[in-house]
Amino acid sequence: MSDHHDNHAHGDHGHHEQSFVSKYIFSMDHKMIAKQFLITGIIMGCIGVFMSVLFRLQLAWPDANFGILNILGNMAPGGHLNTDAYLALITIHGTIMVFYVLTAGLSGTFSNLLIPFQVGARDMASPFMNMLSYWFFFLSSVVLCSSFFIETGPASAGWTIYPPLSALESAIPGSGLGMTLWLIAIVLFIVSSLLGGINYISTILNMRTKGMSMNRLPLTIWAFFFTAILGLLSFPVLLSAGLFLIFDRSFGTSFYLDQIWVNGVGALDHAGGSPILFQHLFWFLGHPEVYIILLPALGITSEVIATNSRKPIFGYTAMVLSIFAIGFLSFLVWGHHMFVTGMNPFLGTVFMIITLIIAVPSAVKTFNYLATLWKGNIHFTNAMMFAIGLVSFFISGGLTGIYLGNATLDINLHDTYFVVAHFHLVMGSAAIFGMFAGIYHWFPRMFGRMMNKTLGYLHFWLTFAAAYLVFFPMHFIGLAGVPRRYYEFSILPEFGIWDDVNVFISIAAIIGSAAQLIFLYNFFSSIFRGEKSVQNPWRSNTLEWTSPIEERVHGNWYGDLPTVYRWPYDYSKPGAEEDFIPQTVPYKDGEDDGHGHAPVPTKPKPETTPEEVTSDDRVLFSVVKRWLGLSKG
Amino acid sequence: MRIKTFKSLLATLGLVLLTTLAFSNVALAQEQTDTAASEAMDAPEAAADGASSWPSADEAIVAKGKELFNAKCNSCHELNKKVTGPALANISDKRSQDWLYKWIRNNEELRKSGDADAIAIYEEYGGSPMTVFGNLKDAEIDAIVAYTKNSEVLNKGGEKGPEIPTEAIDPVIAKRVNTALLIIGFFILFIVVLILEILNLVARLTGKEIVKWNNVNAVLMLLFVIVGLAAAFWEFFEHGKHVLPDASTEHGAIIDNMFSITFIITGIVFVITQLLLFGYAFVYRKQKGRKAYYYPHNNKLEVIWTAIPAVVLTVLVLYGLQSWDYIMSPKKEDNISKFEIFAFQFGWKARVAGNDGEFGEFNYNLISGTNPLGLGITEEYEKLKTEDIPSDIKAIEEKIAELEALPSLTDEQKEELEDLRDNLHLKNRHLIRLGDISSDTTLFNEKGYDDIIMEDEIHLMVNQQVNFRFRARDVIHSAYMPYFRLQMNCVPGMPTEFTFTPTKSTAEMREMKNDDTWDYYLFCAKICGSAHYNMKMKVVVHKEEERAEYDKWMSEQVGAFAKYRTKKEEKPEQTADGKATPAQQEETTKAVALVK
Repeated sequence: MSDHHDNHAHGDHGHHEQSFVSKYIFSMDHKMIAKQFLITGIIMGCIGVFMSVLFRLQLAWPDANFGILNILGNMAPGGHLNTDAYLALITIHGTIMVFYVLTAGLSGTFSNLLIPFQVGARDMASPFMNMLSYWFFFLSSVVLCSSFFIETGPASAGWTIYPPLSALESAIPGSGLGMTLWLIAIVLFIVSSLLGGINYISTILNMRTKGMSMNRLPLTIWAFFFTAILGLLSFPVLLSAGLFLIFDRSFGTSFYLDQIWVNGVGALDHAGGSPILFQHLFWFLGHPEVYIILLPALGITSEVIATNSRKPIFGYTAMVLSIFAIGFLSFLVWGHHMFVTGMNPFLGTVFMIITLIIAVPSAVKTFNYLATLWKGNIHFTNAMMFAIGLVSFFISGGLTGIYLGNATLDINLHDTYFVVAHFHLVMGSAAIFGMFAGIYHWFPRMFGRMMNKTLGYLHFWLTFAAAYLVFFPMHFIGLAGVPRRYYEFSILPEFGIWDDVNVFISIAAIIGSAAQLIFLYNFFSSIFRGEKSVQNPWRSNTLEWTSPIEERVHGNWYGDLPTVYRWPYDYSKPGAEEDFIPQTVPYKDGEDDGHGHAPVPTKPKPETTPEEVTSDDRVLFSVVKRWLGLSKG
Repeated sequence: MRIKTFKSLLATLGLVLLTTLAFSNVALAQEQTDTAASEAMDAPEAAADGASSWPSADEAIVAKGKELFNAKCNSCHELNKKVTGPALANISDKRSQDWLYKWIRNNEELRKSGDADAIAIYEEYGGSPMTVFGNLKDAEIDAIVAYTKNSEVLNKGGEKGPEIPTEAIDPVIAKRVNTALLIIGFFILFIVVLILEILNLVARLTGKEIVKWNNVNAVLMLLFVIVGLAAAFWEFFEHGKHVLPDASTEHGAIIDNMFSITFIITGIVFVITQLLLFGYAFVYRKQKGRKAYYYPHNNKLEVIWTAIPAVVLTVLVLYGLQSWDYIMSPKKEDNISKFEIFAFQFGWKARVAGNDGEFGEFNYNLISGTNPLGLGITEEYEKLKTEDIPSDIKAIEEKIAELEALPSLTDEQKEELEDLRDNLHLKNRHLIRLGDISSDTTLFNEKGYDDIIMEDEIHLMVNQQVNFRFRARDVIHSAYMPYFRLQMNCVPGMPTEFTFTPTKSTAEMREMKNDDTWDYYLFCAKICGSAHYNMKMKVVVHKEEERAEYDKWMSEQVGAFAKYRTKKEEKPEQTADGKATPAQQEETTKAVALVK
């Protein structure tokens, strides 16, 4: 076994020269792909956040003109946003943040970076598919952004693109070419997501190193695992929903359309479809999507909180089970987005019961985080602070989910600012904070340098305060009955009472967005000028810190793959000299496994271990050869 | 090397400031040219027609005009701002009286007649035609125009409440002040970043931390939760005043009750968990010589904190289920009054059954400018089938022929040709469908002639059960009445409904709000297009003592298609004799067949 390792490792790794293109562009190295996902995600995030600033200007000062809005060209004549442009901005803001930043940017980055590292593999099961996954994502981003440069403007039917609005060009200009581009972008995105997901699952199941049994996986990996399964099962449904919509728009079918008469065109030929069908299909993805976003963030938080509290994560098994429960239940609750669509009230009762059950595993996770902090020795690294921020948002936003999941209360709260407040806290802010925690924590692993921690503190406090100042008051606006997606609030004089609050929110949003400039500066300058990192800067137990940190070649670990002897959370174990014991350290005589049992010894690896992937350019050729039938393999 | 960092930092910030300045200058310049341009554009069109006889700026007329403007025009137009449609201030300077009458009553017809202005407007606003207001009288249009011309007459009286006289601020100065504030903000941020950088540098060079960041952050965590919770309480009392008052419907009280219970439970959990989170963060901050307590699991604790939320949520679920069931499957009373609420881009219409107490059938193929709900009215059907659509088809065919005759087509023309062909196909198909329904006896069962269509407002009686049946003709809308705790989507092709009983009259609410002009409104909560934010219908709830007023309002309503009836059957108009009172409607409610 060990011989095999030696030959393999020394033969293929460390000495192989890679061209610029294969190293930085069409790279198949999971570390580089992770960076590509991250940087694309950050760029898309900047675009998305910038859009939110633009429409917050409109919401706070509906009568003012802003020079900065001139960059939108004819969407904001004279520096004043028009109604269609406002709807386009909120639509693309939602799409970018949900899919491009919090799905691909978060899950794509950290699944790619951490799965091979933390399970102890040289690379993903299929580095080639992994590369394709990134490039489909990149293409998708380009297509989406290009819709800003067409005459009729980007899609503007809300990120949920409910037909008939999204299906009828005559209903809103954005439903012309802009909507077509949106759909193409999402189809490409789904392809990317599926390629990634299959890879993550097979890597986790098949490529764990010696001794890395499933119950020794870090919680990050468990989270990525369930996330990938959720994506694999739900994204195809969105794909079919999108294809049906494309058919309805372009080929005259009527999946979602029935009995429509629209201004300027008259009665349409469509008959027999149902707009509600689309909502069922959309939310069958849409709700798991919320957890596709949140679970990786929670996984990162588990890892970061345990490491920086110098304590084992409390209730490892309960944490895994609650991820599983949340993931499973998330497939059965999509109808809670549709309580007031006129859906049969009986269905409402079913969806309401299951929705509120999800609060139980979520509560368990929260309490376990609190128990992990209890009696810890907390190091306030930047990552730790963002992780604590995540838990705070998760509590605040999670609790309002109990209102919205209750069909009775949803009648009055549906589509108001209360909903905006809820999901921006629990899904938006929480997941973004998870992403920041991950970036600050694994920056040294990605770039071999440290980020500037004082700037990190400033970034954290500004962002944290701004997020609460922006979203907390929105609960009250929603409770006053103000609907979301309104261009201005002139419809009722009584809404005028919130004018000052809207100004306040916009200022907070602008400050919060400006604070991201600190992050950008810190991130990009640290890549080149940051302090050199030591091998294991956070004194962490997981495997990624055992692979040489200055490593710049494809394929992790120069020599043998590490062997794992214990779970990843042996922090501050009594009897140990240090306050951490990496997973690669064998049990001492008489040491228990931390749960009061004798440790399970790491057995020699069975012969059936799948062949390690040699991960260099030749993989590409072997795949191509196989396709062309040149190779028998 | 560090110095370099500072330099680049400085450079970046300088760049940011410059850009900001540049933008604000562009804005100023842009604004000036814009005003100049629009003035230049407006001038030649002014005084196009000297023969107009618009009414004077009489305050009563202007007030009436404002009312009409808000009801009919405001969903797509503003006075001084281009929105879905053009800005309407001083519209009479640009268009002649005759032209405006024609345009407002039937802009489609005007366009077909080849009026260049009409076609230009239609094209300028992306080919989305204005709603047809065939029923507006001359005097009403005059009043609206008077309002667009003399809106300031009303503002003197302070209709909008006490307007605070603001000193005129020179916009240029205001802009400079804002820019200066922005610069100062960035400067402060820059200084803070600089200080932090210096501290960091010193720490790195000396190997000693000047500021104990771990302790600073721990204290900040504690401060954050204390200040944050205090702010949350403050906001609860301050902004809590402005949230919706107790519900104005019977079922709304149940929702409010459910809300209160949920609020108490989640409120307690919120405070405790946030305090624990930040409290632990502070108490268990890193300290020298302390080792964390190795405590990986405790099954008893896990069971406890699985069970407690489970029990609490079970209570909430059970209570929620009971309420939901009560609200969604209400017991319908015999004297229920039924309305059909019809949503479209961008407005609402309501329909009640006329004398016969039965709703007429409808079909979306019958929708036209004069039959906006598509009711089964034979005359409208004939007109659509033999006049409107054939003339449309003819016009399209002519245009196609015209384009096809051209020797070569530009890309735009090609596109137009394609659109025209699509449109022709649609119209032909429409004609075929109209032929198919020609002998549909249920559709043309004559019950629609006396149906009343209300455009701006509907009236309800307090404590009288109401059933709303919702329809939409183009996209999904959502009828939302927060005071009633009522929301239901309006879905094309799928009627939905909601039954409720108002318990507070408009008068009662006005007294509570201390505002004589306050009203209930129904508005749209589902994104539906450009004027989504501006789609509303007034709902008046009369108290018991005002029943006479309610009856009077009801009796004033005229069947939308009664005119055909009178001609055809030589019958007197059926508006008198206290028709359409809820008591009469009740007798025939069972027969109401709204389903297609």
